[in-house]
Amino acid sequence: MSTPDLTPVDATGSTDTVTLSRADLQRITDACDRAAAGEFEARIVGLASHPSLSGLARSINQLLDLSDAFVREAAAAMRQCGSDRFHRPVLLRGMPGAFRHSARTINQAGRKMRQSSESLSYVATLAAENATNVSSVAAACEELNASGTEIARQAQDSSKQGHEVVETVGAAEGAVRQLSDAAEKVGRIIRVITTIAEQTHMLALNATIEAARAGEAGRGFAVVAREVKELSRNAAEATDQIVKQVERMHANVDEVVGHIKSVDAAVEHMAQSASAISQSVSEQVAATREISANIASVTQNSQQVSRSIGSVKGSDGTESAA
Amino acid sequence: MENASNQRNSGDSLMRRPTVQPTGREVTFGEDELIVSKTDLAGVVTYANDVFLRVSGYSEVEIIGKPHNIIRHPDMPRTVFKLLWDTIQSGEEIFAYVVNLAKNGDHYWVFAHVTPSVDAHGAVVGYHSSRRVPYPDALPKVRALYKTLCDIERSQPDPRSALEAGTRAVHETLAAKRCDYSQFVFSLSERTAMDLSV
Ligand SMILES: Cc1cc2nc3c(=O)[nH]c(=O)nc-3n(C[C@H](O)[C@H](O)[C@H](O)COP(=O)(O)O)c2cc1C
Repeated sequence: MSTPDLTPVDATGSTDTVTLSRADLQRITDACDRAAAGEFEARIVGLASHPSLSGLARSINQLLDLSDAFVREAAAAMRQCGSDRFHRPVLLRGMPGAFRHSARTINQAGRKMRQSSESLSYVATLAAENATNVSSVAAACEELNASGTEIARQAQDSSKQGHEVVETVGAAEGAVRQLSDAAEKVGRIIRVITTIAEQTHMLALNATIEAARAGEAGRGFAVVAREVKELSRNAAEATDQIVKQVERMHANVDEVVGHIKSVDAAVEHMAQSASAISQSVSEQVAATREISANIASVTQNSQQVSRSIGSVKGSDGTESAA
Repeated sequence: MENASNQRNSGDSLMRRPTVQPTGREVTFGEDELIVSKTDLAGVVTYANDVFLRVSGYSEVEIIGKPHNIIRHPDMPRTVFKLLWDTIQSGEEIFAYVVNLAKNGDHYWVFAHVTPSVDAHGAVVGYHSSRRVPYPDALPKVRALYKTLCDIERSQPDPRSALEAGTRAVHETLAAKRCDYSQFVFSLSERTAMDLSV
């Protein structure tokens, strides 16, 4: 069996010769080649008690063990982070030098991921809350819309009724005016009657004078003339009273007309307010409708946010499996 | 894989486990050291590093080709190993506090990380474990838990119901703590959390 020579230098600087079989050399080379290809399964077994190679085998195995352990740990720790689980650091114990440094870096990244994940969860909570708020605002808008429409309808009704009242009041005013006209006519008739009563009184006076001149023969006539005088005085008194009544009636009618005028003005005013209300409520309803439309898009947006967060956090961990 | 685990269970324990009497003496290893071993799919040791050999007291020749239960300590609940095998056979990693028995009967505690080894095509070709000196603040809790589990297992009439009862107890513990096993293991020590913050 041909044995290649290795000539190591030991700590004291002296050199001695180590012999190893081609098979051993091949095993060592194989393990190193596989490691160089990124595979850390191979180990050098069977040289643990070799007089001169145990140290080399141990060193290579240690290197492989560390690389192997680190790769497994780093991958597992990151995989957990990818599934939103942050309890598992790469353990620093037993990891020297650059491995330890990298482990720290990974753990720091894990901490950052945890923070982002937590803020994302917080945002998700807010988004969900938002969605609830928005939908209650939407419901309120809906109600506002309904009641606005109802108010507009009622305002239109009262405006219409107001107009009706104005017409009725107009008719009443006409009737009262006719009454006033009739009273006027009564007044004119009374003046005729008054004139007749005055003339009758004069006639009665003349008749009395004529009866006195006739003496005994005119006595009976004088009685009649007195009676007529009496009657005409009564008639004059009655007409006086009627005139006073008619004047009072006039005053009353004027008063009624005044009242009707102010009712008319009030109702007119009411009708105007009602249509103003109807108008502004209609505008409000339109505005509310616009708000509702905006809210619908806000709702959609916040649902989108929730969905996006859901897919990032992936409770099923699908995106972490990649 | 089913086959492999059947192989593992049939005969190994009786045939292979040497009758080492525990001495009750505890040995440790360096905080900067890793105890590493690899097994085939059946749990037969294919590699043990120098720290493994030193701490367990076995030579490479004595350990390679033997089932891993060669260093099994009687204080370890079977439930824990069932959980270990169930987890790695489903392709996941597992961390576990384990007490092992050295060749001379001394024991040593480790914080073990066990993972499947996959080839370039993603097929599982074996298992790997690296072990660290355990975090001391976790050990009292672990000891108490393992004692409880061993008691539960012993109270059962047969091995099968022992495993069932032990597994149920583990699930109840996790449910009470509202976490899964991995979170539970990491919660046992303040130190593991500290590694996240340094
Ligand atoms: C990679 C790997 C490493 C293991 N390391 C240990 C160990 O350090 N100690 C141990 O008792 N069992 C270890 N086991 C578990 C054993 O295979 C076995 O399940 C356990 O010792 C229980 O043995 P038993 O089923 O004969 O009771 C390991 C298994 C695997 C796959």
